[in-house]
Amino acid sequence: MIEGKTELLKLNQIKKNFVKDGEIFSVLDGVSLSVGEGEFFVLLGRSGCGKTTLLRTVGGFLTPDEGEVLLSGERVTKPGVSQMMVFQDFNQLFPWMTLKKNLIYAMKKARPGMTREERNQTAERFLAAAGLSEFANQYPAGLSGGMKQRGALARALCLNPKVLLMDEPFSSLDYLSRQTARQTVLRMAQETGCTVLLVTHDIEEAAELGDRIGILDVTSHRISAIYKAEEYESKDVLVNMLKQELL
Amino acid sequence: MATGKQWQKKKGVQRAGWILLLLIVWEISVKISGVSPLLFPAVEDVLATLLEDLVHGNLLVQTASSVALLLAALAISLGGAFLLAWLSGLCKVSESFVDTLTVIAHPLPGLAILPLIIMWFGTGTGAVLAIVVHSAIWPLLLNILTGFSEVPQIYTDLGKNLSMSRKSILFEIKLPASAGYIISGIKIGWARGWRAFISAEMVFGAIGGKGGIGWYIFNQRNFMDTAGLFAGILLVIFIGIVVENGLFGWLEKKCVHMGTKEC
Repeated sequence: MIEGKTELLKLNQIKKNFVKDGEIFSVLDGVSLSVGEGEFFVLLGRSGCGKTTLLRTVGGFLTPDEGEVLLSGERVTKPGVSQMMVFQDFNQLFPWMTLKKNLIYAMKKARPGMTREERNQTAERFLAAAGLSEFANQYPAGLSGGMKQRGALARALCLNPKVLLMDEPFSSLDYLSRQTARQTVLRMAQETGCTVLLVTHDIEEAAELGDRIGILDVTSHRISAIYKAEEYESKDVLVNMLKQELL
Repeated sequence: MATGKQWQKKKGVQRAGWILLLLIVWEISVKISGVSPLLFPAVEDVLATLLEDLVHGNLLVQTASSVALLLAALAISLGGAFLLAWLSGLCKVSESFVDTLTVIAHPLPGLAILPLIIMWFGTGTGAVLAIVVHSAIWPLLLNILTGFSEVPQIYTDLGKNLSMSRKSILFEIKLPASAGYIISGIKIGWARGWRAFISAEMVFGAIGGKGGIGWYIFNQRNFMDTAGLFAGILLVIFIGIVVENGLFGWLEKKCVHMGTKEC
């Protein structure tokens, strides 16, 4: 964990196996990690190394066979608004609601204490932060993939989660949309101070976004190394280091 | 490129054109062939009979009676289908039970169980309702279940992420997400129910003293009023077109943003 940060998320020896055709496959074999408050942690790994399984376990969608996930010291046993997910598929906004209503509906369900006016103002604020104000009343079908992902990001962050979990959210986007989406997530995470755990197989993305980058090893099914971005003089140097580690 | 609205309008105009052409061919064929009006009456005779029976006869009342009964049967079918779909989603045992029930009942034609229905419900409104509900409920249920199973997992995951209850996920996420399938189910249920309804009316006769379109057609045959018989058939077609294109068209427009597929 980065010095001076309070520990928010802790993964203790997470093990997860799957059974396929009678055979047991280990996906996670004792993954331990500590993420500080306000930190942007990127988990980097090849396809099939267990990144999504780990993220879904942190989100409470999967129960680990062994080990535990602690969020602010409390064990995560089920999905909840404290650990909001942004999924890989960019069709995650409800298509029967406008963009703004997607945010308002999420707040209505997850933050029932908010008044109608508060929900409305918060939705407008977060849509503005995601650069989507002029599309507030559009249905998702009328938005591009990048806009949908930024909309999903705004919806997750407007709920004020403790940690934002992102599962390769920009992997299906074209180059320019990906750049815009990355800048948006960096800016919004900084503005809200939200802790982010993002998984990706994209080395450049990891170097651009992460305060720290953990490598999830496809052979050992554990985190094999952690890199602190601030220790490298430039992003290019960090990218080269990560390439050496991963390739 | 034509928009959806323009395309619909174009399709409507095309259909009207084809119908007009068929009527002209019908009229010319009757005039040229000199066929007996008892076998094939001219269009003008059919339309005159239809107008006469609608204005001065009780065909309008009979039609209203048929449509009201049919709507009641469809409402019962829809409620029953949702109840069974909910039951199916409760646990593996209930899912298996509903699946088996559907496999047994769906392919069973309504007329095959007619003797049983007459024994259980007599020959009145109850019997017609039973026949129509049997015809409509199973395709409705199958479509609802398919719709629910096709809801992207990402939506239900999001519901869980928002700490929504199972009931809320069912009614607020799964239901709108499967709207396209549900509307398709209603359309199939309506089509099957409508056919079964007209057949049932012909078998059971006047229901509740008012009769119905099926009974009207049956009666015209008894009196060898072929023009009246055709008038009844035209009315059945007309109601079918109005419901398909009017009611369902409106419903589809309302839910254009819903669901996982364009509906």
